[in-house]
Amino acid sequence: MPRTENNNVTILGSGPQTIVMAHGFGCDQNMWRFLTPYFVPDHRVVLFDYTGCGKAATTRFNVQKYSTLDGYAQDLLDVCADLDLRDAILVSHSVSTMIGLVAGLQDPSRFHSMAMVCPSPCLMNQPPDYHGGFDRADLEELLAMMDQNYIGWANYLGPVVTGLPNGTDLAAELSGSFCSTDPIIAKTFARAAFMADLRHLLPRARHPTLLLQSATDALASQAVGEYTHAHLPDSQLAVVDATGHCLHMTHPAEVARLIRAFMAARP
Amino acid sequence: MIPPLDMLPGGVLVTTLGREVRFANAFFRTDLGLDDTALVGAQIETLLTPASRVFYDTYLHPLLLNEGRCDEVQFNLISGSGTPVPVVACLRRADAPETLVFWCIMRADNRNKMYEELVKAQEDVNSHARRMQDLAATDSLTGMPNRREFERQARRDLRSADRAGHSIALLMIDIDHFKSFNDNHGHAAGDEVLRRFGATLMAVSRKGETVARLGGEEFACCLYDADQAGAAAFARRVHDSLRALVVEQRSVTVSIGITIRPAGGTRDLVALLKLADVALYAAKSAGRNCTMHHSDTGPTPCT
Repeated sequence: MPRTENNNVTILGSGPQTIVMAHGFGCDQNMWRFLTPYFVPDHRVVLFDYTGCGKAATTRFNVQKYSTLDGYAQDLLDVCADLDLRDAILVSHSVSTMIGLVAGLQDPSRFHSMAMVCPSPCLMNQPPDYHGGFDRADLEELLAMMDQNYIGWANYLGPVVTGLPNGTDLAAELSGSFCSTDPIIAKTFARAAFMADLRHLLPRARHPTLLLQSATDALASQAVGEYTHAHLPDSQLAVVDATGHCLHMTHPAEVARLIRAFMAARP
Repeated sequence: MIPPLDMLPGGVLVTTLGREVRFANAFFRTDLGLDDTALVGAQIETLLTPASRVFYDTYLHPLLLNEGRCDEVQFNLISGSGTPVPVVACLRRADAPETLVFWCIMRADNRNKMYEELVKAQEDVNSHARRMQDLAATDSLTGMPNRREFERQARRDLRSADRAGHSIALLMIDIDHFKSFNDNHGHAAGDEVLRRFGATLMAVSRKGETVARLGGEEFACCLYDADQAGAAAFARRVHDSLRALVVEQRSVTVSIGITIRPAGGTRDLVALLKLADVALYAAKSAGRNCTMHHSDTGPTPCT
């Protein structure tokens, strides 16, 4: 079985240049539906879900592999390998920006350049010099919140009380809902995203990179954007006058315009 | 008369998709100690704990954009004194005449306690289940996988080798003259032999090599993607590593029987173990401390 079947790969449009879009923590490839119309007419756009997210297979999920961003980078590289991609443009959001960085270091030939939407190399504060925005207590609160909401959504206490693995019925019920996943998977991803500190990898990056920074973003402040820009060689920083962490959903026209200008300047 | 919205025992909030608060009822003053008039024009982030901001940005906002609603979501508001207040909310997006988000909020302090207990109960059960699973899979004397676990792993390897077109080697190992260790030096010495041989076997096994104690002085190995030469090399590693193993001033040796299921082979685990056992008995008959390989023409020595 091609590994891509595991990652629910969707291919839209066609064109000489392939763009891979990698969703962030929380949701799935549906996040890109506001942005894809700007590229589909003249590009091949590849979407996928990380293992355990959206409609990707959960059977291959294991906590150990996906407890660091390396596991997710392997998903991205598997998708690239199955489609035999070379010199693709990677458009990534949130934690995927760092997953893309890891994947790009492991197999540089897959990518031509990267456009990172709301990147942060480290969400946790690392005193005294680095202010990622969050403390460990915030992470614990978020993980608890994910449990609480899962229980609320699922409206199905059996597996929670008994601790049995989630049956396929329950998984099917949840998969119909955008942004909802098995709590173990979602929490593992959240923990991997929050515990990651990839600041040391930034100087090793090899691809031209566009950093799309939101003017006000609780997850990636402007100071974090400037930090990333200062440490990532061959990067350019574009600040979008917006609030929030989902520029590709809230400001797709502006994001598309900036990515297209970047692509034109970096043929 | 006090406006009815201010009489409601829950929060009513209206925000823009750009996260600006347009309206907040008196709940935010009475229950959260916030200045509800100063809230108008503020950003929704000012009402949320840092974790809830992440939750808003990664779940609620995308859901509002994608589906226009969030049902029964729980998160934490932050009170005027800075303490988190758990709430449950339903959110609806209305697009005309202007895009606004309507929030209906209820306090969830007790519900939150119940969830915390549920989550803790789940974690307890999970960790208990994991411990039971480990116990059920482990041989208590040697700490190695037991027979049940060996069969599970070996069957998995056989299936996987089927799909990938790989061969599998199965080895049965028996400690030579084990009974005399027990008889001459007591059961504690016998246990010591089993423990130390188990440790030796685990130390020589590498990735893709499953080793287990089946029971008594009998051990088994399943080598993934190994042919006859690979299995013979493994057996040699076992014999060689035993040179250093001395218990009660007696050296410990083993006899080994090997069978190979080539790529495309159809024998199941039971049949393979039986053949490896035949080879093992041949090794015993050949004088022990050696390895025999089972082939279709009968047991042949392994060098």
